Amino acid sequence: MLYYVLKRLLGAVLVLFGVTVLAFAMLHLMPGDPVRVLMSSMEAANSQTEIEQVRERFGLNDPLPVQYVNFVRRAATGDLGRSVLKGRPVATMIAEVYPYTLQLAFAALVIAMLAGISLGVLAALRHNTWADSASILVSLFAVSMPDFWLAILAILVFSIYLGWLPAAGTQGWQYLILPASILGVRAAGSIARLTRSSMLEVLGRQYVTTARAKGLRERVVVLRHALKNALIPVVTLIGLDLGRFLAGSVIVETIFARQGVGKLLIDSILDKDFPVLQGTVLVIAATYVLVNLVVDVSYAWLDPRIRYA
Amino acid sequence: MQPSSQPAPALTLDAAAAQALAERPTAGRAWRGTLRRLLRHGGARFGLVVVALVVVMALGADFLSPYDPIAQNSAVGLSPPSLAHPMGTDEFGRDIFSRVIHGARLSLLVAIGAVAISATLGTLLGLLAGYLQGASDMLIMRPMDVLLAFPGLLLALALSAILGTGLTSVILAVGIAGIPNFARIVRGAVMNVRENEYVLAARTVGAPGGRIVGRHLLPNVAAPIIVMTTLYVAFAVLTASSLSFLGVGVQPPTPEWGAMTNAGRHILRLAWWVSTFPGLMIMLLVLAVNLIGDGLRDALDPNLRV
Repeated sequence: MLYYVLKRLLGAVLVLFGVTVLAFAMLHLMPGDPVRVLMSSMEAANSQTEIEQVRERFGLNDPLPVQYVNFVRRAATGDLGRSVLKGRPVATMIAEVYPYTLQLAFAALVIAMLAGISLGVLAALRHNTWADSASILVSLFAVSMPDFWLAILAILVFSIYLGWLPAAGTQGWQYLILPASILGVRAAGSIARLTRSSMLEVLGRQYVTTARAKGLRERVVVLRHALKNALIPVVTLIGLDLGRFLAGSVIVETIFARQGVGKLLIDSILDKDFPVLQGTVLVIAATYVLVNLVVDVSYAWLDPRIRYA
Repeated sequence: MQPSSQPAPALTLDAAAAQALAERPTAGRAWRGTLRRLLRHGGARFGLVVVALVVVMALGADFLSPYDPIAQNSAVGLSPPSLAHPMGTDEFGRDIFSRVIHGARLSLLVAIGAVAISATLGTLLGLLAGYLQGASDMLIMRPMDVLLAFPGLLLALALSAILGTGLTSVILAVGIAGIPNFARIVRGAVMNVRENEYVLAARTVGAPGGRIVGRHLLPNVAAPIIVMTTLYVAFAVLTASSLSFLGVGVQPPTPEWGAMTNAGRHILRLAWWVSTFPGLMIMLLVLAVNLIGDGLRDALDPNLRV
């Protein structure tokens, strides 16, 4: 088990380094002089001296490897540079909005798991009936819908037409319902699909038949014996979904006017505020890598067969 | 494609390998069976019809749309769906139905372009990594793993930040974002197939590496590639429209479905139709592609799994 964890940890660290390389390289991959990219949102006049000043300030005169090392070194100590638009430290800007995104992501995960697992189990138990086909159809729709469109529809119905839920803002739990549900819909769809097929597979196994033969009530058979094992593959989906929530938060936070890492990211692209863009990309990707690492390890813990594979 | 029809060199080819070579179903027969099974799948039929409709819209946009998609007419601004304007008009008086029809062209262009990039480059890399293994495998797959460390939309966003706005950038961004997915799937399939008997048989007979890859490996990893392609088309359409929705993709006044959905976002209370119809089209297209994908998976499953 320890060996497995160490192997996974090493892999994650390597990938993280790759991520930093990519985040760093973004500046130099942009068309044109990096200085111009950084200055594109500043109102300062482009005189030669000012260009040189910016170059010095951002260390662009050093050779690339040195720049990269400095980048990583600073990032490791929590310095992600300063916004060229607002002058504030990027790390602070991210730290301010990160909790909101986490809140959104967890709420979405809870909703997705509750809805997805119940739907999946229901479909498996009612295999080959209309309920089964209905839930397959529902999950298919869930996976095919563009989140921004679903969000708009939800606002139309629940906010404008019915007036039940607010459409924009961050304070309070009511503001969380719509965005979290939208974010969670697609995940609910894939969780439902996987739970259903996993459950169907488990229900056909010998230990389930044995449990029934022992005379246990059906409910005990399903809940105690079958469900636990059926849920194991679903755990891996959760890691993927959390990552997708981080990405999907861009759309949801924009539409529902919530603060968050996603909104920070898209705003930095539209405002051409490069340090913020770089820092946000790095943080989001790093989070995703870490989450997947945790999921990988917990999957091995849950299913002992994996550890020795 | 027939397996190499050499007279079995009885001395160098062992009986089992020769038999495996002979028993492999000819690819031509396999494809026809797949097609038949696909068409029997109800959902896939629906999907094919919808996709065909979208293609017709895209090709015949200039003939089919009743109005010029960018012609403004403030007199009829923001009018609800009616006989004259089946999907209503937007704030500039442009007919939404016409814009939706023209948008089909853009969506198809993006889907085809992006998937072409992802599929060809990804498959190539996956084939190389899976077949060569060892150092080349690591050299190719490590960067792929790094790219996969970014959730889908995020990678496309980061790429479009670099590439800028506009249709070409969207195609490139979504295309590049998909390469690691294809590479990984193809590599896995190649590693699976590689150890099969007919490959060993071909190597025994002395077939050069290129021929092995082209004639033996490729047809048999085709199934996962096809499945991945349909999945990626769905993803490409969704992501491209998301990018345009967010403002970093196709720019107005070009009638792209995602951009159109965004345009109606702030006037929902006044005019629900401006956002609803373009978004509906996106959903229908993606649903259709997913249904076709499901049908393909069922059709390919019993057959090409050698």
